[in-house]
Amino acid sequence: MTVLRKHLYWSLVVALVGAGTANALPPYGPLQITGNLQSQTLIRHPDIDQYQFIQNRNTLRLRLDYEWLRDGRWLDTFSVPWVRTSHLFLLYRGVYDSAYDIAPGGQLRGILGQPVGRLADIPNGARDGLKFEDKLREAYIDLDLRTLPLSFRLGRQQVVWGETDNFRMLDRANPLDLTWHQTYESWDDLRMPLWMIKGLWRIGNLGPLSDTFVESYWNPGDWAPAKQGFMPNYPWGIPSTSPLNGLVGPAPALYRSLYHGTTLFDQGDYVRDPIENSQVGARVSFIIPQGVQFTLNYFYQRWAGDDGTNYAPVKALTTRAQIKDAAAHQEAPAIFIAPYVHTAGMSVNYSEDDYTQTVYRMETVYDFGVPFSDRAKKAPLISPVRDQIYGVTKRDMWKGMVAFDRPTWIRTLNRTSTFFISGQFFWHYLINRESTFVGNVDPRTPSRDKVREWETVATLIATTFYRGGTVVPFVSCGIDPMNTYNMYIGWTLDYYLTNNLIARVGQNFFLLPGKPPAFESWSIGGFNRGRSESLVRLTYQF
Amino acid sequence: MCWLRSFVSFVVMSFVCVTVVLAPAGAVAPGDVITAANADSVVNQVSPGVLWCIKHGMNLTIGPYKRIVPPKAYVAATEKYAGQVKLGEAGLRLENYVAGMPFPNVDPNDPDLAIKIMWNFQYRPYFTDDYAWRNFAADTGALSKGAGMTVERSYTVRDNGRLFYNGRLYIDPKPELPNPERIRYKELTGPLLSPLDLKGIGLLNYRYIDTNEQDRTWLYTPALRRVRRLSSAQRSDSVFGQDTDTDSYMGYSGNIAWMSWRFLGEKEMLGSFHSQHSPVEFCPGAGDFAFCDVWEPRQTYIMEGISKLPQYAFSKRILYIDKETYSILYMDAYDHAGQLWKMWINQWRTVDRASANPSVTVYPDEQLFNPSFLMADIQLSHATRSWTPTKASSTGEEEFFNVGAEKSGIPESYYEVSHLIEAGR
Repeated sequence: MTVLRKHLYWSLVVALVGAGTANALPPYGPLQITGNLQSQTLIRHPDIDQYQFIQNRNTLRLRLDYEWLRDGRWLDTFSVPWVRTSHLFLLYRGVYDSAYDIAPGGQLRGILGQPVGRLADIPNGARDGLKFEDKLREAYIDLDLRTLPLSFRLGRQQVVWGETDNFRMLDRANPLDLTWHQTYESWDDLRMPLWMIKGLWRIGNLGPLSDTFVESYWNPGDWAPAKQGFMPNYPWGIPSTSPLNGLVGPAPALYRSLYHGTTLFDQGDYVRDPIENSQVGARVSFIIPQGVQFTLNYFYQRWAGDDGTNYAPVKALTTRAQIKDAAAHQEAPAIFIAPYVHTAGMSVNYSEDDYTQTVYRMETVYDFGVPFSDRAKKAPLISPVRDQIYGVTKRDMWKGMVAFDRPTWIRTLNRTSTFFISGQFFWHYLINRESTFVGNVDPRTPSRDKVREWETVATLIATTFYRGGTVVPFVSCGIDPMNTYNMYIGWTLDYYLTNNLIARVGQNFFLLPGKPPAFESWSIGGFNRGRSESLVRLTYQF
Repeated sequence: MCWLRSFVSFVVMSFVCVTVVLAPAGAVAPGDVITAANADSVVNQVSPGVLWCIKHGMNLTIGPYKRIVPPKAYVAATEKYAGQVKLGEAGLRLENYVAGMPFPNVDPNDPDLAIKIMWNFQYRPYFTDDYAWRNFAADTGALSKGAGMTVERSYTVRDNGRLFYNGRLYIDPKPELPNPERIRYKELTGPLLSPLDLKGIGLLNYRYIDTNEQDRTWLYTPALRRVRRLSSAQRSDSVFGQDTDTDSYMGYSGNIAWMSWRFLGEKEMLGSFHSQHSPVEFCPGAGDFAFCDVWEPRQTYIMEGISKLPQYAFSKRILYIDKETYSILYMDAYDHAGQLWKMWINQWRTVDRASANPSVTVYPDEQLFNPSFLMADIQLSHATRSWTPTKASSTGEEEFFNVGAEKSGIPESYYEVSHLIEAGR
């Protein structure tokens, strides 16, 4: 591993030197090395007179595209007649966040305004793990067969399906890393790339259907649940300290780990191999003669816990035998769970150009057997987590989204480009909800989220271009009508100082009309209470 | 206010028509060089948009007129099938069209003259089976008088290809591919290779034979990592905020049914049809936003198109269509206040091979290569120029006509939504 890392560093150095040499590599051709260096600083301002420096993330992304096989010739040397093209793709991401070294500011605040510690409180050893990242995020090979209408993508990759923007529904092949900032990062950075085999079969015309294709993937064990972190280690993570502090961990914690060695938001009671941890998904896409494009989707995956559902990540042991077994192994009487869930879904898009000049999008899924914490399933009296962690009841859920995209001339604001306006409305419906279901914010706080039958959220964004595309404003807002109209409003402004140097400034504001705050699923206002922030970002791309 | 605008439009259009009909031609001679200093000498032989470019530094070297003979297969198909072609409903459909030029003998007194010229433009020679423009570059930037272009953004794109489904002349199956959807052509643009923030973007568009059918458009967006459906109302919107829009490509790439067409006249204009430079040579100094090459007198149809679409960016376009090739010399586009807003100039090069030593093909007939084009926003003094081959091209052969989709480097399977997914990361 050390050798590999050394090679990686040297490759980086060589690539950077190469990139810095004028015209060392043309932007096209079989081998392209590109990337960017980005510095992002976040200031949190929960109130008008409170400011807190919480992030200075410096990121290097390095990308290699190598079309090493073309017209059946690999590296212009070997004949591989059954392959038309093949392509190697590597994407490296290295991060250094100086906020962990500088450790500025005072107390960070949790969801109820409670103090949750300072960056300076994080032990030095832990800070190194938080401030650095060094990952070959993606590494895959594309193969396009010559004689069959088939293509494959083999390797560590992201698979993105569906019609939603920045919400999870059919886009669920790759769980999210929620320890990255949720609001100011692209989902390209939030998704955790996984080792997968993906195939696409181009069918073309099929009876009255056109552009028909079937796509499927198999993840042979390299799956992990959504990565989540707690404060103060992750100032933009779950807005509380870990509920397992003092319960699980090295001494003086009560227990060595959760039951069966499971770890919260990381490892369930399974081995990460093809037998116990395979994930699969398949979809068929087609266009009907009227121009409506459909996809029909199916997934069999473990529950990642990143689509806004107020699910149960941890289950209390409810039998005396299990509790005793846990105690015998110095394990807590609770287990992290990531059960398999069947999901069937569909997406639709249609461009209505005659009357509304609008693209309509729709997506819906039905999840079978999502786990919820159920207060009716209490742990026995002997359990030390009784009344804090409960047993689990599974229920089905129906989720959906309708959306529109419309390019719109607002000539008083911009004479040269349209405003791209896009609205989305999401819903979750929990079928046969029990009144004893409880939410999952933090069992130590007096308020816990309500698990509602219906959860909804609406979003609206607008963007346009000024000055030949060098100035790009973007505004967005979201509102949660089910939870006291919690609201989010944000804006960013990108300015292309040169073709390679981009400056971004932006702000997010979370507005909570209701008191006490409601802790809604989608992090619009309740979850991010007190997290209004300003951003400055500088990106150099090459 | 409306009546005033109508009156002003009437006066302006009357002036344009009178100018078009009465203006003297032939004011320049081979060997002349037209610069800002003597731009007024060609005021009646170029469009207002081209005149603006000359006054901002573009130079025209005048050459002799050279006749361009359409490809033999196209001429044969025209002779064989043109007699059976008729205009259909409201002039917006063709009946019995197979291949070649639908209306080779247009009559100036024909009440359907305008739409027939546009149908000829739709089925013009050279672009009959497949077409590819590969590894092209584009710069966009502000123009400052006397100082040239300050490049703000630079793009490189791997492919722009069109696969035509009907009217095919060279590659089997012809004259039509299996076509249950009644497609006229599919067009793929992408992936963008640079800059990095846009790398990977790909655009796919389907145009239908039935002009009542709206285009279908998809965009692969790397930031979202998915294919997004687009409204075809966006075709006149600027691409990434720079100066070009997809309807302006090649001078006009919109559906001819989206405009009400009017024939403004036939006139000798200057156009660049026998350029000598490939790769392109841009003008020195202030004119660096435009190509510098040979221009010649060309007999030209002048067409006015007024958009029927409520969301359309422009109130009208004036197309200057070469009578021999039915290709556009240049195009002027006007805003909704009737002011000249943007302009497009094509640089054409009529030769039988892309470069001295082509690796793919030497054509049996001369083809209309397009080494560069320019689109400028006159109101903002901003321009976008695009060209291929670039100086980095190893063969100089980046443009292909009717060689077969596979041979052109853009196989038929690339013109599908699934390919946008395959090509995306």
